[in-house]
Order: sequence, then structure tokens, then C-alpha cells
Amino acid sequence: MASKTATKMTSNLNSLTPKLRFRPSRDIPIYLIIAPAVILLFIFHYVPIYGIVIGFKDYSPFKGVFESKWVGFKHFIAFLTDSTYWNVMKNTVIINVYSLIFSFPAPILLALLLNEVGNMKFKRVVQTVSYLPYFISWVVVASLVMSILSPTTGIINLVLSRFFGKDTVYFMTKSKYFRTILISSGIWKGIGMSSVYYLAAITSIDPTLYEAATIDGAGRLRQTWHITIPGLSTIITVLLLLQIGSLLTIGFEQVFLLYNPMVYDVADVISTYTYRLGLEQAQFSATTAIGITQSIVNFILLFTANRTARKVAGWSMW
Amino acid sequence: MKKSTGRIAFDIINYTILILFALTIILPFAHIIAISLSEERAVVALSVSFWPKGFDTRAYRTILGDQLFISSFVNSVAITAAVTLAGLLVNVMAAYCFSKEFFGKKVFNYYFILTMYFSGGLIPTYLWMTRYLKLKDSYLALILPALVSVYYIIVIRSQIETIPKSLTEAARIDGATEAQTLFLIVMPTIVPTLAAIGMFIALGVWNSWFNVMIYIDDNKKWTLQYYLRKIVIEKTITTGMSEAALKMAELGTVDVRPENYQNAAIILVALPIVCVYPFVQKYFVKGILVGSVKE
Repeated sequence: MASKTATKMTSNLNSLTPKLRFRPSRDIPIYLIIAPAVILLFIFHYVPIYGIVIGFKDYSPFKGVFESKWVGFKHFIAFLTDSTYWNVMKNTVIINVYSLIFSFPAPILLALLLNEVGNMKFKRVVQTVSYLPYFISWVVVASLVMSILSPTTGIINLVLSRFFGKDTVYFMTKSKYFRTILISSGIWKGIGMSSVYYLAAITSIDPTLYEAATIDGAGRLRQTWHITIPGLSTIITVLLLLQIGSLLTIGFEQVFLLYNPMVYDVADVISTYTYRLGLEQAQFSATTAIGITQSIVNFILLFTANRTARKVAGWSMW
Repeated sequence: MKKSTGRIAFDIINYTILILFALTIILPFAHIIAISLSEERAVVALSVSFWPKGFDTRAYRTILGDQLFISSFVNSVAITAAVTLAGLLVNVMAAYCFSKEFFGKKVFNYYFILTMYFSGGLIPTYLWMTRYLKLKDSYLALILPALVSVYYIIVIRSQIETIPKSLTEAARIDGATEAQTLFLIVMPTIVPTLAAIGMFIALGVWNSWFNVMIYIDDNKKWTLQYYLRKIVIEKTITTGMSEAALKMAELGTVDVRPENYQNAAIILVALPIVCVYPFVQKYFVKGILVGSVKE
């Protein structure tokens, strides 16, 4: 419905198969070819899943995963009654809600503006420029942010002091600026590539609708409001649901690269908190307990969002 | 058709917004380049905007002459190449199998799909990698876990299924083995898909740094992104040559500032991608639309 140029994606790797019996001449070569992927997934994916047992043990480096003592839900109760955990949880949700409000509509707006551009060359140049941040790493983006906000050399402070006579602002160390910096750098990095989804959906809207509207005397702006935006509703619903589904997952990288101890009160999210707890303070069992809880909640959220998307828009991720 | 006044006004506003938008992407780079090339006095005086004040390439020469920068760059190139090639191979092999019928396919299907939902998480993975597999400070810790991608397997398989069955069947009748069919018939026909997926894999690996941070202590095994993180974000400049120079800079004995180094490092790390992306962006645009928009 949303697109004619669309590719169809099957939801899993299994197609409808008749019952097969084991036939060595046919099956063994296949097993050999699939073996590398199976073994790699086993070693680097399935074995660590077994390792989550340490969330229910008191992990001791001397005893290892297998020998450490079982303690049941001790670590779960500990973090669930810890106010630090709930503050981190609050930050995670707040940042995600901001992201829904500001980051989500940004690429839609860009796509609508680009769609109104008549000069194709100009449109192409702006689009190409807008893709640039998608390609550079978060390390580079975070470095750029720190550099332009630097109190000693940054352009922002230069403008503030030169044209507004303001004192130097230490942006990166003030809690009140952190979320703004985080959200805007996220928009900056993602807006170009994300607009691609919407532009593709716009091109698939039936052109006769616009012709009919023109005959009826509707200007371009009214056409945008009455044809383009409704035409985008499917893709918007799907992407919105999926973002809600990942409400408790925030890109670790972005926060980790931009934050510092002075802004932990607003910046620390679950992924960064567990990283510090686990790898810097070596609280292996406690961290794993938080990780398990997190995975379960995330799975339920994502699963529900995916189901809803499938029902509402006939679209699903898998 | 003549444009209405309202339309003209809208066009002016629209073009202005888009130009400003493009500037917000370009100007930060201009600013960083300007600082990296400016003379020390101008940088400290908070007077460099988008054009260098004076002209001083020492920061670049120092970084390009820094052993750690060079080894990080070489490591990044090597690891990216290794993961891209090996990853494509492993994924295309698995995808080929899933395009065929075989005994136990359903079980394998679940085995692969489940990994998209569940993982061991940070600590169990870390303990397993370091304590049991002994992969601390090994390049293998950066390469092996990154090879299999179930998502790419799904995409490749759907491409393989578009190949006419008659083509592979003819090969079978001529006595080709599964491996020969895969490498000589299937792979050559899906080169464009493989190239596109290879680019996604390569970009992801090139830009990653987290595994370097947790698994690699030996700075000779760093990658470029991690090198930049160390210089700019942690502000621990551990490069042999620049360390001494920066100490002196802080003491005021030489007129090179850490800011020059940091900004030059940002530019040098971003440069390879900035140069390549205009030529490959269309593949990425196509790529992200595959599987995202449905009928």
C-alpha cells in the first residue's frame, strides 16, 4: 500500500517446506557450507547466553562462572531497590521521550521541504550533504561537538562573546545543556539518511491524486497537507511504533562519548551505567542481573510494537 | 503556469531553510579545519571562525608522523578488510543453504533467528571472551564476533531466490557440487547485492570502537576511531611523540596547542570517509530501503 517500488521481505529464513528425510548426499554438503555461521553463532552468541547464570550467582573471579555460588534473586532485589538504578531508568525514558518529540519528526520535515524543491540539482546537493553525518562515526561526531562547544577555542563561544558579549559557557559540563546537546547531535547525524524512508514513500504516492487536486484548484501547500502527509501515514506509524518499542534502549555510543562525570545526574542511562558498573567496578553479577531484566523488558516492548505494526500497517521487522 | 506570490514566498523560505541546514553540516567541519591550521596565538585568543588565522601545518605533520596514528590506521584498514571479506563469505554461504531445501532446515532457521532476539549481554560476553577464550589483546576479538549477521543472511537469501532455478539446476546436471554451484554460479550473479552489503559491513566495522575499548589494551593494536577517542574525548594523549610535544605545549615551551592536534586528528580520521561517501551514498540509500518499505 505504501509503496509500489517496494521489495518484499520475508519474515524468516524458512519457506514452506514439505517434510524431508535425511539424505546424506544432499544434506551433508549443505551442513558443511552452513557450518561456519553455525559455529560462529554458537561460540560468540549462544555460549555467552549461558553466561547469564552469573546474574543468579555471586561471581567470583577465582571460581569462575561454573563454580561460583548460587544466590537466587539477590542481585535483582538489590538493584530494584537502589535509587541510582531508578534515576538512570528515568534518564533513559526522558531522553527517549525527547527523542520521540524532536528527533522523530525532524526527517519527516526535511523530506517534505526537499519534496517542495523544484530545482533537482539543488535538491541532490542538499541531500548528499545531509547524508555525510550518517557515514562518519560517533567518535568523530562527538569530537566535533566537543570542539565547537569548547570554552577555549569553540565557535559557539566565539559567537557568544564576540556578538553578544556573553561570558564563556562550559557547555559539556553543565547538566542543563546535556540533553539538548545529545538530542541535537542525534538529529544532526541521522536526519539525512532517515529522510530517505519518507522521500521514498512520497515518490510512491499516486501522481493522479496531485493532478486531480490541481484541477480542483488546490495549491502545493494544501496538496502537501491533504495528500502527501496522509500518504506517509503508514511509514510514520511503523517507524513510530518501532521507536516506542525500543524505548529503553538508547544508543550506548552517543551518550558514552558525550557525557562526563559532571553531567551523570541527567546523562547516565542504563547502558552506560551497566558498562561502568560491570567493566569499571567489576560488579559482574549485579550488572548481569540488570542486563537480564533489561533484555526481557526490551523484548516484550519490541515484540508488542512489532505485532502492533504488523496489525496496523501490515509491516513488520521480521 | 504563473506562480502565486504565496508560492514564491514559500520557495524563498524553503530554499533558505535548506541552505541553512546544509551549512549546519558543513560549517562545523570548516571550523575544525580552520582551527587545526591556525597559529597558536589566534586559537587561544578565541578568534578562529571558519578560516585559518595564519597557516601552520605542524599539527598535521606531527600526527602523520606519529607511529600510533599510522599503526591505528593500518589496523583499521586490515580489520575492516578482514571482517568485510570473511563476513560476506560466511553470510553468503549460510544464505545459500537457506535458499535450498534440506533436512533440519526449520531447526537451523530458529537457531539463526533467535540470535536476533537474545544475546548474552555485556558481562557474560566479556568474561567468556577474555577469561575462557583468552582473546584479550587479540585482533580475533574484533573480527570473529562481527562476522555473522542474520539480517544480511536474510537479504542475501532473498536475492539468491530471484536467480532462475534453471540456472542452478543446469549446473547440477553437469555434475557441479554444492560448493561449485555457490561459488561459480550463484555468487557471480548477485555481485551487486554482495557489493552493497559489503559496504554496509565495511562502514560499520570502520566506525566501531567499543570492542577495541574493552578487549584491546595494547596501544599498537588500536584502531583509528579509538585513537581519536583517546586524543579528543578522553584527552589522554598517549602518543609517544606528541605526548612530549604536548607536555611542552602545556608548559608553554613550544607554541603548539593540544587544540591544534585534536582538531587535526578529527579531520584526519574523518577524511577517508568524507572522500569516499559521495561515490557510495547511492548504494546505502538503496540498501536501507531494502526490506524497510513494503507493499
